[in-house]
Amino acid sequence: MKKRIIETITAPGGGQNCQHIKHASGLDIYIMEMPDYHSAYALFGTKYGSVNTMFRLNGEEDFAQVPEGIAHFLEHKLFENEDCGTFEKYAATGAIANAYTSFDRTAYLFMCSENFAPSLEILLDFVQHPYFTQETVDKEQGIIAQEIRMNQDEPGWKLFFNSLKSMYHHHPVRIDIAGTEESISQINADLLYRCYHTFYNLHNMVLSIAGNVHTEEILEICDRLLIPAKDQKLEEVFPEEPYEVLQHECEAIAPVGVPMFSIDFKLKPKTGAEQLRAELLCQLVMDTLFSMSSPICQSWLEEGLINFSFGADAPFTGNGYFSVGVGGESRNPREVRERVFHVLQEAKKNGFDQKAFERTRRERYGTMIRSMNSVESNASMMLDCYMCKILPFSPIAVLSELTYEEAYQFLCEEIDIDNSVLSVVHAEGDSL
Amino acid sequence: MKKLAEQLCPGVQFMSMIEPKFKTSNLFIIMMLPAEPEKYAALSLAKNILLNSCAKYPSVSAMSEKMQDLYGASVSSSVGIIGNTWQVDFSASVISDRYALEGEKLCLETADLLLECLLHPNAENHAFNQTAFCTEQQEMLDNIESEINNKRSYAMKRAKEIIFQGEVNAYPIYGSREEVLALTPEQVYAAYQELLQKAQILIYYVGTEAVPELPEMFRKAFSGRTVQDLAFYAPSPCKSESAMIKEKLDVRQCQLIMAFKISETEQEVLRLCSLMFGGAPFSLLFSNVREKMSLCYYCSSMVLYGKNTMLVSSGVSPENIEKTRLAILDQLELLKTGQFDEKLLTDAKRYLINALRLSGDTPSSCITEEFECFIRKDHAGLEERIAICEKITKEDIIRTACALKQDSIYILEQEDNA
Repeated sequence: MKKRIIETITAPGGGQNCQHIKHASGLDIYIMEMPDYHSAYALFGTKYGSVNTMFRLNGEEDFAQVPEGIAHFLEHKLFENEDCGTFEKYAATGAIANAYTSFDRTAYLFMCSENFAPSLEILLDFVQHPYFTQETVDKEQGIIAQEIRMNQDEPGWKLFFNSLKSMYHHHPVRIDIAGTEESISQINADLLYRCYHTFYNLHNMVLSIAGNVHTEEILEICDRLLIPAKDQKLEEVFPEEPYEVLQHECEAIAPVGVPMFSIDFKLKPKTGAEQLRAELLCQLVMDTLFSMSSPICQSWLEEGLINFSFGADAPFTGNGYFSVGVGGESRNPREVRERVFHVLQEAKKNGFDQKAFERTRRERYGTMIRSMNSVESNASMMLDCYMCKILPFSPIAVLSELTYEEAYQFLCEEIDIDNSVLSVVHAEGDSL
Repeated sequence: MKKLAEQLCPGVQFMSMIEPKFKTSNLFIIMMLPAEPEKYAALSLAKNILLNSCAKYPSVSAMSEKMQDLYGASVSSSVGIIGNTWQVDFSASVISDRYALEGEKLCLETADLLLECLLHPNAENHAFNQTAFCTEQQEMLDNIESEINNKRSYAMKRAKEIIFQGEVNAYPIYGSREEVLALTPEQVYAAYQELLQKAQILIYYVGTEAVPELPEMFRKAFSGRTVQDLAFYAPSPCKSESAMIKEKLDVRQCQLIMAFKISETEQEVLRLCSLMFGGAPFSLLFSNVREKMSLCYYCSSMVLYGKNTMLVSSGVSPENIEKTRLAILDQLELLKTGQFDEKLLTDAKRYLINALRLSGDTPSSCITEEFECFIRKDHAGLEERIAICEKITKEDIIRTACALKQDSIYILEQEDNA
């Protein structure tokens, strides 16, 4: 048996645990055995998303700059093999397979109720064996162009990206994950191979599995199929990003019913444990002030200024970016912004309801427990924790430590109404 | 999993599913009536009012506070049509009592709250509270207006108006803007009282341990009703000539929806046929129309249970609409003429069986599975259903594909200046 270090991580309260294995190949592996379940869910992810547009490896002189949307394009193309498509292989095991690309990661996944071992073999095999030709790259342009157009018809997507473009001057978080029809036309097989060999290195990747599985069986498959990788000391560059937002308002016209809006606050980014704490504090503060349990929000609802779509979003964080928004639908988004600012100013001046804060914390605790109900959410949680450089289950432990005083301090020091953007999407002819 | 079903009183069934692996307690109350489109608006508005306030928690903020006290318990409702039956479900989910930090009886408290909402609503003098009514009426009007935001579901809603013309499924489930505007608190309350008295009710509980108080609570709550017969299976007649409707909107991507109908079929065969056609990543539509021809990002098929209808939907460029439509018909032709490998059938069976076996791993899928058995009047266990699926032959698929007739086409096009 190959040398490996297995560490058990236990959730607060001891009800659940998982194993972390630093595999000899360089890969981090997280496994949560859930023997009472029928299914298993596996994710093979890399720290490579749409924001990773400039990079170099140890020994390379120049930084490479690649077209927008290439991480997402690569995700699509990796499903193709020399002999047949990956979906055909999965069809033989019955597993339901998919993949996704976000700002800071790409993950390949499957879910199954039987044939777990052969499904895992397919996953490890196709992700480690890229096969790109110019012909297949050209063919994919049409499919992804349709995906881009589908997103452009999605007003929520437009609202979100317009806000990012207004908040960030230079950081690539402002670009669309799938790129543009123009940018993807610059992608070729050579570029895909370059990105693949840079980011799909096992030292930059994680395998996260939860469900009716056995650690020893998984590790046997990993020992057999993982191709040991040398740590290439990947260096990424992000342009220097000012603290201030680029502009305070943006609007777009699209066929929508009630105008959609988002008031987004740009915050100072953090990393690791500090970021986790900041995210939780941020969520608690915003939920306390802007949930429907707040009598102020209820009064806005009753006067017709907002509807039930109103609320605080989950904080949006990653390498070099951190923001939080309050949004929904309103025929008078500017008035909502004024009132949201007023609530924040009053809370900074006089504090906010401590009992409401405790209720919100209790609600968050319940949400975290509920998310442990399924194999998918447990596997996703372990992957998220790896990507954020924190231990699995640490959010639930940190949540219990947070105090009202810390939350108040976070509000006063981090949430700045002068550093916000109002993004609106409305129909032609709507006057705001 | 330990299942126990009992008839609490005429028209009210209760089933508990005890599964220690879960971390939540879940309640699901389904009320069903024969579908009458003129009542959709009032009933939908009623179900919205019911869960956002009640006599005990008479405001949105008071109700939300209570939910937070219950560790963020979620309470929600939805409406739908199955065959010719209208249904509303009220569901509640709360963390299991063993995770309560102060030993609270969360499951019982949540069941109490749900019944408070249903039996003691925010109403007086046979009318819903005016403030609650106005807030929810505006919310529904906003939702109707915002249906256009999601182009795919908007196109599907519009397509169904043509596909099921003259049937209860053609009408918008929330009613029309005009119908919602015309409602009064009295009318909505009366519609809800009728629902309470006449609906057939199914109650599901999925939790980590038995809660012996639940059956009696629900028996007391819902006894003394006169229920009507319900039709979950109501095949939609195929038009003698396929209808085609085109609509224009300021969009970047066009929507193409095609409906095919079959007069008689075994549901499992139709489901498998649709899976092979466009319901999985190895299906004909995915492999050929998307992957080989690069015509779209999605092109998929699904079956509407009880209507014997298969729907295909795709997002395409304006210049590719006709090419995609023909390509979809070509794939159906492959099924009709048997020009497919036995492997496609085997893969589809495996995929379906995998999906069936996954159903016991979340509380919601346990409930969905039981509810589907109820509407099919089929209480075959999982292994029996798998055995039925295994027996389906290539000839069954060919016969079903041949019997599918094109009924309607809906196209959401780009405006000329887009």
